[in-house]
Amino acid sequence: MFLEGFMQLFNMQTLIWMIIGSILGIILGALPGLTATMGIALVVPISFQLPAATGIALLLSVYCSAVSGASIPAILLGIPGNPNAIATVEDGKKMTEKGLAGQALGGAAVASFIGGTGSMLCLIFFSPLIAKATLAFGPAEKTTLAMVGLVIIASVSGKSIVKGLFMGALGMTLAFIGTDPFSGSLRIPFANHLAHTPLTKGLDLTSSLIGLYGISQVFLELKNIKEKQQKIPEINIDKVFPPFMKIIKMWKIILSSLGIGTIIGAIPGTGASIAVFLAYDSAKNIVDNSNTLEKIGTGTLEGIFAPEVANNAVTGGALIPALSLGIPGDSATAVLIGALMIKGVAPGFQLFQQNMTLVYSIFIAIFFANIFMIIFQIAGVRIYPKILKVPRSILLPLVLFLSYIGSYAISGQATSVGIYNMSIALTMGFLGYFCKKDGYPLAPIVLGLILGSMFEENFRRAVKLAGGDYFTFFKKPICIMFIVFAALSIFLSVRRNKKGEK
Amino acid sequence: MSTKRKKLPLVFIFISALDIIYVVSLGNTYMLGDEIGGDPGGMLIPLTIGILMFLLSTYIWLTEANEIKNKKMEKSDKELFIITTITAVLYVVMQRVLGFILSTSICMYILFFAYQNNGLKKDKIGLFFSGMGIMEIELLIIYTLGRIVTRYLIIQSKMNNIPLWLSSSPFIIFINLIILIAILVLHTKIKNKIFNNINSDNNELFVSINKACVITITSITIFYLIFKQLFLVNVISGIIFW
Repeated sequence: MFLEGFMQLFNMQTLIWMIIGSILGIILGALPGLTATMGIALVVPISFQLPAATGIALLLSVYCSAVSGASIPAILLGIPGNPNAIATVEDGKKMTEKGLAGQALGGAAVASFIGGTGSMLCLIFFSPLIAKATLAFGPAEKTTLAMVGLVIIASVSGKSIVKGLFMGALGMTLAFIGTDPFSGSLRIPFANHLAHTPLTKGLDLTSSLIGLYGISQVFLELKNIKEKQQKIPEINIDKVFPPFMKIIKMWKIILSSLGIGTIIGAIPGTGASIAVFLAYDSAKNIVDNSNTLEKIGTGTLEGIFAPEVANNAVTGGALIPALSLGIPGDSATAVLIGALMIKGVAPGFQLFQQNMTLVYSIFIAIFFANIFMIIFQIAGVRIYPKILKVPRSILLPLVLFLSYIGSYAISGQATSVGIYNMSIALTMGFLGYFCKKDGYPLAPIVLGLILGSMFEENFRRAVKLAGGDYFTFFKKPICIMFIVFAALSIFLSVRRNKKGEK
Repeated sequence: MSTKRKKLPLVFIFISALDIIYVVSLGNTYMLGDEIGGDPGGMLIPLTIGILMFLLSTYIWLTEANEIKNKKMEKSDKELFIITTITAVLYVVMQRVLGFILSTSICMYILFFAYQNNGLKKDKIGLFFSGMGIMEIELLIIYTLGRIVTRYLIIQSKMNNIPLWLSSSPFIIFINLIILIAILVLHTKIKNKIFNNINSDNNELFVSINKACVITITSITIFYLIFKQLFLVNVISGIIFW
């Protein structure tokens, strides 16, 4: 099966799409304002047209490279491409000022590769085990699992837990649009008039994701259109690779950042922006107790390696709950799960039991994605700084129309469905824009959209199986564990917010 | 600093209230074959979530105040926002009538132009439309030539007059890209001649129009080739019926 999985990827078509995905991911990650999540959302319509393994490999290439690509502007300009590279700014910028930009960029690429492949090993080890544990899950457990996923992501993905919970609820409400899963009755407004429209099948997930992350970002970035481009320094190409012995000396930093990144990534809703600061902090402590390492914050490779290993370790970590439970670790993996579902792949034990070949393909794809990422990030050291010069006035219209065309393309041959999808993308784009502007997190709405139906269907099944007993959820140990998790998550989030207010 | 309540939570309260009314008006539905009972019904979860949304949005509205002094949009940002909104809505509306090529090119050109010149000013409107006209003509030439060559290759290949690979998607895309490059080279040569004769005061404006034309033509051709030729997506022809 491993060989079959390998063969699904080892063909010219897949490799070419992975190369395109890697380059595109680095560019998207490098351009300030464009995120890995948006990159994945924009590529979903293309992946939809490809065979499952190829499509997923393309998405993973974009994901891994976009996380890593964010370090390029962080190092050269002192502006992180996205929040994943916030902690890289300090040492990166200082290395550039010292004339070591090439080594900083090369170091970031090597660190990203170590983080990506290291966390991939954790993914390979843990995800089948967790998926196997879900064998014991009945409808009641699945209901509480969906609830815990929603609550955790709502409580940690934004500054306000109330806003997070509201967005999760809104996502669920949007997921209910369409047809009742058990009775087949319509659940759409003006059902008499809209009964023969694509709305009866519910909101198209891909178009919603494209709207939320692509179109909304265009509107948000409008205020930055007049920003002048910063001067990009010349890079010494001779010194791209960091000294090998230096990397060996940093083993403690690498291991701690890898652990932090993978664990933080695996906790739903947390994401790389938290992991990089923890890893940076931990590296500072390691350096303080060492005689051989250079002081972090003064423009050293140590300060680049810690956050860059951590942010790419998040990619593998976030995929652990995503593949084994169907609960995404961050917004990017939420979009990835959406893309998997569009491909007819349901994450969880069934995936591991029925489609192990695809699981192996995913594992191998992550490895390849990291290899392509390091190759193209190092090979493009001279080119990527030029990409940073592309003004927003050129980028934003491209993103807007690519979003539209992508949501249309999902419909394939049906033009009316295509136009309906574009309308969905536009509506969700406006919703995403106003929500982001007012500080509402978008990850819970995506999770609500993905888990809404699963929650409702399993809830009704569980209560029906229990003969109408609503307390069935408090009688099963796994359910109780999930409910305690959810309650704990809310409690900790409220406490954190109160501490923040003080 | 003056403060007032935010509007978005109010919109959410309204949406939540509508949702609750709608869910209640739909009534309860039960699983097919639920004779022995136990199914909580199709109304319970949507209604609970609707009520939760209502309560949460009310809480947000009551507890959050807006510091309006810092939040006001600049005039030029507002103009770009309005242009983008109108263009984004028009694009969806025009799609069926004008088709993919025309609607995308018009809307994309408008945005490229507006973003480079901080809006659509009255004194620049003449040059704006001239640029749009040139762009549309060039795009239609590329499209028409591409269609003619594509059809010719496919027909000849079906009649076994040429090898099969000459009608494959990658080759057709390659030929179309050659046509695109040829037109762009011609465009650049003509542009250089015109640029030598124009008033330097308008130079920046001409550069922005030229950029808008070239990027619109290139990106639409590439989008078209990827989605139509490679993935066989049925893009709308609209009034370009050929």
